[in-house]
This record gives sequence, C-alpha cells and structure tokens, in this order.
Amino acid sequence: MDAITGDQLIKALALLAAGISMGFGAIGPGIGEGFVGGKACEAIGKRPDEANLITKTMIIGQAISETTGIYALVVALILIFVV
Amino acid sequence: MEIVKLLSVLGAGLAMGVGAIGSAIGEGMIAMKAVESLGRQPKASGKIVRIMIIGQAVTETASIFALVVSLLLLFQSGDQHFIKGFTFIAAGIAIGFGTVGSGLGAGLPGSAALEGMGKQPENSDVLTIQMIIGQAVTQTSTIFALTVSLILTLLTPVYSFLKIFAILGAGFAMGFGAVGPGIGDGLVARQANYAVGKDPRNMGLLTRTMIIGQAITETTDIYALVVALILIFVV
Amino acid sequence: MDQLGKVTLFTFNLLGKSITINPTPIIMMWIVMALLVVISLYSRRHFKLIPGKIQSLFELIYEFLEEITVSTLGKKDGPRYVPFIVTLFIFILVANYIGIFPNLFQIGGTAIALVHKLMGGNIQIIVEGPTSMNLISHSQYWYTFLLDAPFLEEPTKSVNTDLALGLIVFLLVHAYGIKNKGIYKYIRSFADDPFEMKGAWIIFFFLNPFFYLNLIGMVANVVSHSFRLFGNIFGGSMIIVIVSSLLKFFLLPVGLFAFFGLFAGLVQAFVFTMLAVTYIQQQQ
Repeated sequence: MDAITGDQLIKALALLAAGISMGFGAIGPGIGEGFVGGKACEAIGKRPDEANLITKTMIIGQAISETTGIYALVVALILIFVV
Repeated sequence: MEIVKLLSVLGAGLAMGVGAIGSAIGEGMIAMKAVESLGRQPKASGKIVRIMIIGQAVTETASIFALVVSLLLLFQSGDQHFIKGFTFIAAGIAIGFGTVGSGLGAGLPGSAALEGMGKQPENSDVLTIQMIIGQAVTQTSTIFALTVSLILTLLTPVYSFLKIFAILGAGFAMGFGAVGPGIGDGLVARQANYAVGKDPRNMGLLTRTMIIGQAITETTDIYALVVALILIFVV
Repeated sequence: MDQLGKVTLFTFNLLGKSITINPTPIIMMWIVMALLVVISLYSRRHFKLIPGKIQSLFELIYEFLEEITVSTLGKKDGPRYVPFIVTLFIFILVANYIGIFPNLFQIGGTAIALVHKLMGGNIQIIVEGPTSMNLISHSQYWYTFLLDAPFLEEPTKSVNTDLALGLIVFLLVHAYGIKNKGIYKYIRSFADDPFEMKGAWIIFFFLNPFFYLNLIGMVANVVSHSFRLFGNIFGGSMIIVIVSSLLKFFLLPVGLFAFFGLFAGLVQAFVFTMLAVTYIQQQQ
C-alpha cells in the first residue's frame, strides 16, 4: 500500500463530510415540511372549500422550508466535486 | 481477512439495533392510543384491536427491512477484500438509522386513527384505509435507505483510499437523511387522519393533499439518495 | 442474486465513437406505448354513450384528473393541460404496472420445452423454485430464443426514463412560464429582490445571491421529481428480488408484489402527475 498524502486525506475527509452534511442537513427540513403539510391537512379538514388556496400555500411553505436542505445539497456537491 | 467479518457483524448489529428504535416507539404510540380508546369505547373493542394490529403490522415494515439487511450481513463470508468490510458497515448505518424516521413516523397516523376511533367508532373503515395509505407512503424514506444499503452490500468497489471514505459518507448521508423526512411524513399523515376522524366526508380531498404533502416532504430524502448514489458510483 | 447485476448492453458505432446503451428500458417503453396505442384505438372504436368496462376506466381516470387540474390551474388554462396530465399519468401507471406481469415469452418457451421433453427431447431441467426454472437445452431449438427473453422490467426502473419524463415536464413548465409572464417577468421571478431594480440597475441583477439559489432550486426540482419515481420503483423491484432470493424462490413474496407493484406504482404515478400540475401552477 502506498503512503497516503495530505491531499488525499483532505479529499477523503471531504467525501465523508459531504455524506454527513447531506445526512444531517436533511433532518430539519424533513420535519419542518412535515409540520407544514400536517397543518395544511388540518386546515383542509376544517375548511374543505378553501382546499386550493391551502394546497398552494402548503406547497410554497414547504418549498421555502426546504431551502436549508438545498444548502446542504449544494455544500455536499461542492465538497465532492470542488474540494 | 478477519476484519471483513468483524465489520460485517458490526454492521449487522448497527442495522438491527438502531433499526428497532423507531418501529418500537411507533408501535408503542399506537398501542397507547388503542388502550385509551378502549377505555372510552369498550363496545367497539373488536374494531379498535383490529385497527391497532393492522397499524402495528405496517409500522413494523421498517424494522423488517432492517432485519433483512442484518441477516444478509451476518451471512457474508470473511474471505473478501477488506474494502468490502467498509461497504458492510456503511450498509448497516444506512438501514439502521434510515428506519428510525419511518418507524416513528408510521406510528403517528396510527395513533391519530385510534384516537379518532375513540371518539367516533363508526368511522372505522374510512380510518383504516386512510391510516394504511399514510403509513405506506411514510415508508418511502426507509425504501430509499434499503435501496442504498442493498447496493452497498452487493457492490464490490475498486480499492482506493478515497473510496473507503466515500462509501462511509454514502452510508451516513442516506442513514441520517432518511430520519427527518420519515418523521415529517408521519406528521402530515397524522393530521390527515385526525381530520378524517372528525369528518370522513372530506376523505378524498384529504388523501390527495396528504399524498402531495408527503411527496414534497420527501424531497430532502431524495437529495440524500442522490448524494449517496454519487458517492457510491461517481467518486 | 445474479439477477441484480444482469444488464444487457448493446454497443454500436456512431460517427466513429462507440456508444453503449442498455436496450431493455427502451424496448419496454415501446411495448408500453404499443399497448397503450392498441387499447386506445380499440376503445375509441367502441365509444358508447353507456360506457363499457375499458371506456369507464378511462373516463374515471380522466374525470378525476380533469377535476384536479382545472381546479388547480383555473378555468382558462386548466382544460388545455388536461390531455398532457392524463397522458402522463396513464403512461407512468402502465409503465409501473408492467413489471408485475409474468413474462409470457418465457412461460410459452418453458411450456414448449416441457412438451418437447415429454416427447423425448434432450433437455435438462433445473428447478430452483416456481420463478426460476432453468431449462438447459443441449442443442439449439427454434424456441430457444423465447427462454432467453429478458424479464419484463418497468421502464421507470431505469433512471434515464425518469429523467426524460422529468425534463419533459420541466420544459413544458418553463415554456408556459415564459409564455404566461413574458420573458422579462419570467427572469425577474428568479430573484426575490427586496429592492425594485429598474433601468441600469438591472446589471446588478446577476449579483443577487437569490438568483443563483433559485437557479439551483430549479435544477433540484427536476432531480427530485425524477429521482422520486426512480427511487421508489427501483427500490421496490430490488427488494422483491432480494427477498425472493433469500426465500430461495420457494415462496413468492406476494405481499411485497402487491405493495410495491400495485400500490406504490399507483401512488408514484399520481404523485408525479400532481407535482407536474403544481409546477405549472407556480408559473402563474
């Protein structure tokens, strides 16, 4: 086995960090989007005639909650391909 | 090498040990609500127990997936290149942590359905269907975790120093990435089940909204799947 | 567990470059398309005021999706997108369901081979279970190609099909966005800038970090849209193969077939089309 250089070690740890970044970064948005979806279902149960407006708001709310998940994805991709 | 056997046994332990947490808590929540509803509606005991058993059976799916991977890892021979050991432990991490969210999440709609049964036992059929759909969609994050861990188990990567860390990273990404969306899916399904329990006439609308809400909640899980697949196949 | 890694590859030369493709998803896609065309032509010829079985199934799907699409997109734009949405749904549904049909070619070949053996043919039969009966013929017979026919696979199991479907929706959504909002407003919609930029300030538009985040979010939408379908169908079929081989093919996991084949196939087809509708709606 060849000796491992510092560059290789950095690259290797960057790959591990990419996995950890995406893994832990997905927890928060997942739970947050769940809250949004849950409350939307609750609201539709109360006011079924406003379903369109509620669904629209739910999708926008979830898309914004997901932003941190996209940050985690971007960081992971940078760690894999750029570092 | 002995190290492969060691790591595969460690992976099997992680898969089953951690993988049992979520389903166990989820099933406990369902049973708790079932007992509570039984206290309120002793006459509907047959229906309540039936829903409880169905709900617990679906909640258990996540742990059964962990069991499948755990058995696969236990029966691996130690006579392989040592990089296989790292794929085994990464597979164990992916499925072990990946089932926690779904197990916990699948318990939430079950407990909501049983709470609805305690209030209006005549809705039992509607509640059963809504609960099963919600729980089944909640399993998606576990299915992704299972896919990645099966790929890792069957894969024989070319040895390089980078590959070891890439494989471990894939395991972490998928394992922890599935926790949040699993719980989130469960939260969506729980509120949908509460709402159906109150007014079963809105069921079609609620099922639709629930499925869309759950599908969007899983997005971050899909990012984790993509990162894991890149780490396995591209790096 | 050899079934997992078995991929038929086909290599050909095009303009001096050798290109390797996996023909199975393409063939399966054409089978799905042929099936749909035949069914539609047949049921169209037999349109009736009182619908028959096939017609009422199509009408059920159409009316269900039409109601959702029109109520989401509005009365003006909604009806124009109904045919696309219904086509998408029916195509993905049939593509997801085709994997649960048994392979008729292999069954037919096996039946012919069994008859042949009963009549004294030189064939060795290895039985591993109900799904994996290997017939080894010692010489080539005319029916040998039937036994080698690949299993019916879901075309959506291949990531290329899903990405193609995702890109179709992506192109439609953004073409609609440009048409609906006009090119200036469409580009502006990428930056949620707190200050209204006018005139020469527009060159600073590209310095806005939100612009790049929205751009990444747009690509991430296509990826998540396609990989959601891919992950579910691929994962399901993989689990079925693994569990079947753990059970040594003596028992077929019927429950898993029902869950992943029927239920997950339906739910994922519905989710894919509904997300297409909501993406179109976001461009309004």
